[in-house]
Amino acid sequence: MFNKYKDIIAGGFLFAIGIIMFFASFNIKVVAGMTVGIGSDFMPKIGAIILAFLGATILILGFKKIKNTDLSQENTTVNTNHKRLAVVAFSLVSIALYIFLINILGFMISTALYIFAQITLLAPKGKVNYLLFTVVSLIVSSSIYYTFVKAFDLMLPAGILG
Amino acid sequence: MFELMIAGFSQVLNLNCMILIVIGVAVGIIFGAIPGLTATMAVALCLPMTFGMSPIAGLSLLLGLYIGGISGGLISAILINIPGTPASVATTFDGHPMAQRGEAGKALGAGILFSFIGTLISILILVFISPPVANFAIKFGPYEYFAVGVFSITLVSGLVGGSVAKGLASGAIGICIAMIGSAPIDSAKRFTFGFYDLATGFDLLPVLIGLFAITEILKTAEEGISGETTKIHKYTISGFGVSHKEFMEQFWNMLRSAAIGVGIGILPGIGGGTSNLIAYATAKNQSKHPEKFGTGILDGVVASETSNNASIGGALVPLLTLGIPGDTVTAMLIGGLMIHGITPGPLLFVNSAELVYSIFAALIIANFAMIIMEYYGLRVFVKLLSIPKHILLPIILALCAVGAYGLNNRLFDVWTMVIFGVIGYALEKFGFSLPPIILGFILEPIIEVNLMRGLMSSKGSFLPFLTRPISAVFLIIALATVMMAVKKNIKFSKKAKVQVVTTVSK
Repeated sequence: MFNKYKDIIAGGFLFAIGIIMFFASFNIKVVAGMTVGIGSDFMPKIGAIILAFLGATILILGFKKIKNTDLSQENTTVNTNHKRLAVVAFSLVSIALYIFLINILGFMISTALYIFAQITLLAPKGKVNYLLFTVVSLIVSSSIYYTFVKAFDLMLPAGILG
Repeated sequence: MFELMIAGFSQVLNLNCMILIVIGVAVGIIFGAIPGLTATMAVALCLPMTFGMSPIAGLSLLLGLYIGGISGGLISAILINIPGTPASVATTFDGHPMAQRGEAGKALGAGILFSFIGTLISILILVFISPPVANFAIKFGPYEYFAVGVFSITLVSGLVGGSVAKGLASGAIGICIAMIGSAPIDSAKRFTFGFYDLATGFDLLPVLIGLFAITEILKTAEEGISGETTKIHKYTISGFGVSHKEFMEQFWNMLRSAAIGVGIGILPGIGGGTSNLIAYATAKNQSKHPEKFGTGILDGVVASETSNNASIGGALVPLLTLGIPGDTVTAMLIGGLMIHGITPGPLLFVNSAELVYSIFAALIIANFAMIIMEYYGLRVFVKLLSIPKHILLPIILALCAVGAYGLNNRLFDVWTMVIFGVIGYALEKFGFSLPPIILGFILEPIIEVNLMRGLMSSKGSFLPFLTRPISAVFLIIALATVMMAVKKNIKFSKKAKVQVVTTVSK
């Protein structure tokens, strides 16, 4: 299903973005007299037109592909694994939470929490070992923190530990 | 040149730089060897460590990572039949059958040796070719730079394979993303939606880390990690596994593959990931016994490993002489150079010739470090192949976050990284390739600034862009590339119509 319509979705999306961008670029406040011939709104307009054109091309080619498929014996297999997509979604949520918490809890605590959560999410069945995961996340987050702060002079948020 | 080379070596031959090169090569080989981790990722993760170093110390580390990362892929390609990086896909074709036959040691030895030779040839070409290229490019005005920018982006979009429309669209997406922020000449705000942080636009590094590291992590999350332990072939290695006679037999194959590697490396945006496949196909076509390819013959390993490493020197040519990255790792290196206030381009050879030659010296030393460490440390690298990925990937993400944060000490860059990770993941799902996005992102300012400057000096006339010889040639090649790619695509889709059932149902 997804494979069948993916070019139409992608092409349509890019076409829409191109159109929106084109009209949005009329709002760019160009400073008069700084440039000759074209202003700072020129490239955005050209970029938008190119994007819309390519989006439309992908869209049309996508429709053609479907038409050709319909004529022949179609064999659609749905092979999207919802469980795996859930892992991707949960991973993204934990990454977002992680970044959100960096300034509140500090780098060390939030990194340890994130690493623990992400390892648990990714671990294949039969390889779940919470003790090991806890130890790994604590050691890794503290060693990253101290290595970068002490050895490479990088400022990382200390948070509530600071 | 000889004196400059000596000056270059004197900058690098100190304990600090040497240690950094050795660490870089070792970490690079590890990243290369572990499937899913690439040389690009290794450079991205280690960039924040170089912020506080001197330019040449930082570059020593990054170049070590580059050489180690491209070469390390052969270990897993041969021993577990999974290419460690895209650069060693073709190594699996013959390397793994050799391992199955009990010749793993020979395949590994030859792979390491020809990686070394490929890199060495390409560095020599880099050393001899880039000063004259820079000398030529220094005469470039805005018209020429504009044309080179347009040429580079159309070239990569047409060459990435698959649909030309999608390749070009990837490039256009990169161009559009680069326009967010302040315009180059009059600082007009573009598409900032009132966000303060967007006023300066997106930084290159978080975009790169997002597209190449975060995307990879999300892909692994989707594919899932198998609970079984990877089966690693046994091997015994003695010498480089190649007799004098075999070496002589491979000589032309080696030179041809190195030439292909350097050539592909020089082309903007594509590197070892493409050259290994083309060199392999060429070696097969030119061979007296093409039917033996894929059954485990030395020729396949030599072609793949010589060419992917030869792309390193090639990719550095446009980076150093024009400021245009030859592949994704060199795109990262642009970021690494900019942090130290160095703008790559022809002026680099005039203003910081010593730095350029220290880069050459660091590359040569890193290459020697690579052959020694990969040969003697093979046992250790093979052990590391069994580190579970579900533990490794979260650690890499945390390191990515450090890298993005360390750039400007703001979380905005970390968010940028994640957003581009999601964008990259989605685009790959829809069949778009990512390297043209990066090229579009890097080239947009070059194209726009030079277009505006050109118009200022021509008083608003577009004509000089077409009448200046160099600029005209590049624009014509750009147009021809797109037209040829479109033609090839139409031919391909006609052929594909017949097999459409199989392709769509996949």
